Amino acid sequence: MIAIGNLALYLALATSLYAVAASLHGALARRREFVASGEHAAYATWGLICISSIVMLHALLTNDFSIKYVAAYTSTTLPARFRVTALWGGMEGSLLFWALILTTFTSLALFQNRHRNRELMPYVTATAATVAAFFVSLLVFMTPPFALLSFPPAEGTDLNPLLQNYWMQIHPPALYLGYVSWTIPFGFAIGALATGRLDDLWIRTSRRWCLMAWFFLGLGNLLGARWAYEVLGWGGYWAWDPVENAAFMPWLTGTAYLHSVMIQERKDMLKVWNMTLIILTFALTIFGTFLTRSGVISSVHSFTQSGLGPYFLTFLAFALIVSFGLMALRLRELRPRHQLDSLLSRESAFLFNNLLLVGIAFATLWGTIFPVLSEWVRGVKITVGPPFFNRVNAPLAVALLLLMGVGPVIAWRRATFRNLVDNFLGPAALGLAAGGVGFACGMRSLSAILVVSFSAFVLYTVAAEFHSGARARVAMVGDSYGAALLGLIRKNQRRYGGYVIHVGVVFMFLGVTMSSVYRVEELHTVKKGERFTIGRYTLEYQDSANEEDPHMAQLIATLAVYEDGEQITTLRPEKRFYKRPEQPATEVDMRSTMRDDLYVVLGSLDNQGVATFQTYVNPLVWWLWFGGVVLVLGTGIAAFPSRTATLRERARETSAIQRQRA
Amino acid sequence: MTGLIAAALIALVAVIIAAPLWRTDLDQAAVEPSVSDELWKHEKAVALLAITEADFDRATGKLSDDDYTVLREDYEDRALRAIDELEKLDASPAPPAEVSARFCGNCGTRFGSADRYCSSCGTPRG
Repeated sequence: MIAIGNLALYLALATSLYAVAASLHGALARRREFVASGEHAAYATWGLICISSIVMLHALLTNDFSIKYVAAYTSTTLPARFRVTALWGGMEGSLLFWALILTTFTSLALFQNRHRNRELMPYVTATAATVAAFFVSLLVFMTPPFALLSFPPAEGTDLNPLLQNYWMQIHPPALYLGYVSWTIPFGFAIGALATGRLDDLWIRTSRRWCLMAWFFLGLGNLLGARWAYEVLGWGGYWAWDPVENAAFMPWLTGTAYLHSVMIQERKDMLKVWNMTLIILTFALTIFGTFLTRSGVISSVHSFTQSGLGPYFLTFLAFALIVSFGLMALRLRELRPRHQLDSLLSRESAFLFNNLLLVGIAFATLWGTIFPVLSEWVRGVKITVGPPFFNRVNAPLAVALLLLMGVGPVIAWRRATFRNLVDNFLGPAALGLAAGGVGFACGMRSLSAILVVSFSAFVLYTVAAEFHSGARARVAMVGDSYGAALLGLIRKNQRRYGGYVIHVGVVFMFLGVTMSSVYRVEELHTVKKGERFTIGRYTLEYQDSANEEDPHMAQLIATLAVYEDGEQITTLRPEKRFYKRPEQPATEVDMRSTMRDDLYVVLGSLDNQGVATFQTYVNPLVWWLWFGGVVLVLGTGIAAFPSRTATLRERARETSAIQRQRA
Repeated sequence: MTGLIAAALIALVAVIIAAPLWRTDLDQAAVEPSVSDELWKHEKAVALLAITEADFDRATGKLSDDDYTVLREDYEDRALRAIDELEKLDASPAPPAEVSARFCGNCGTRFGSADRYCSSCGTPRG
């Protein structure tokens, strides 16, 4: 079995390299048989990586400790679900998993386009196969997953306890899906540059891939935040850790791309900018992988450090040189057909939105690599912490929130005074009122007041968009209001799905701001039967218990929680001691409501039964996770437009134009 | 046993990759729309979508009447041109495969089976 897994990897390297060569030869020499052969090679690479992955999963599930990786990341006492998780728990396995997702997506994209976009596809194959060849070559030459031990141990070292968590089972796959999916739109962009098909064909073809990549990257970040919140036990969910930043940056440039691409489709502008954004987004996914695996920067999220850094940097440089080189050759053809007419227009709002998103990405990049740069330049590693990121990014993010309300309702090309009054008077009034109410309720933080005010502004504009759209449809089509509202969404799912996403983002903004600004944090040391108070909650430490199984020992404290004199729940925070590897861990317990989270960490528990509890009250943090759910819903609406509705609409327009011509 | 499986795997991969190189029906498989056809269909779709959106944006007050008139005329012209070109393409009969040229007389590019024009230089298929 192990030999087959190894052989499959070697063959996958050969087939991916062949796919690059055959596709490029086929495209340049116009030899269709070579293009087809290259595509077959890409499918074969996928099959081979599947074989390798199955062999690895089998080894993990059957505790084959003769394999170094299995011995390092599993044990006989590790539950089966975490043995599957171990596939991405270490360097070799996670690279194999990465290659599996990449080749699967490549095959899917090739299959989807087997009868379409034939001119672009050889370059898409070549690009995706180049990326696959890079990752597989790391597996073959640098970090072989099937390396054997001379003396297999009777028991494995086990998976890091921090990774033995539900969120860790779904967070890395979501993030990897996001990282890897960007390869496909990047491949289409390279295809467009290589063939000179620089209209929006490549954009339309790769739109769903972009949306999927953006969605999974966002979801991966959110699940990672949830993991940090539940597992790391410091009361927060985002610490501007380098690995968090690494996944956040391509999400930001990807978001910028998803917005600016609309300007290209409609106005034939920003072609160079869009091309730059897609290249940067792909480059940032590779850079993120470099950060996670190179070990140059320490992180609570990085469990797979190695000496692979220089290889990633070389590949990154290669990708940037080829992409920007091709773009330089096509620069003349990428010239826009139109110019910006006015600063008060939707085009400008999109442009500012892009500048802010890229600004945040750049500030995040600067803060992330600053320790490395300072070490290179001055020989001293200077780390910039959360205060830097918060100070620089918070104002930009608040401005972005405001633009989320401005962009959808401002007129195209040039906003008139009447347009501004009609569309912004209501939202501005509600925004001011919301800010005023916040101030009257005791809010004194400027950022919190601005976020509340701008959130109300955005929610009003989104509601007004749905309402005015439905009313216009009632007038144009003659539907009832309800049918018009549904028809409106069906007719332009991309636009209205986008608005739903905006609502989700507003909820997330509120959750993040309020839980950061108004968090209460207290440390209490109490004996059994004693009570302490935090915010509106009173907690009574009632009991403690010891539990033990072959895998771990647990110390569990029981706390009764009271509000207004009535018991509302019981919390049981734990301290765990994993036996293999010997490592302590905390298991947070919390009571989560729409208003706030009561979050309790068991700090210590001595033999006399005296316990220390680190306790937090995080206001509105529930809205962060709920905003994520709304975001999923909005993406679902935007990503799967109703084909029949669009076709019907176009058929109606065609017949109208033909009638007019007759 | 492992040796046999390995040999079978290598052979299978070689066959999968090499198969298209020996296929003689690739040119006959009409899997590729001609470039011109694809371009005009795309142009038509974009223009129609833009007209629908312009109607809607005017109705919701995001496009002034003057801008709407200019935009609508522009996109109608584009849509009409695309419809005309597509009709012309539909009207011209496809050359029979057995007598049509396999390579462009101007630049030497190989034609796809459904191509009516050279995808590289635009010369009509002779």
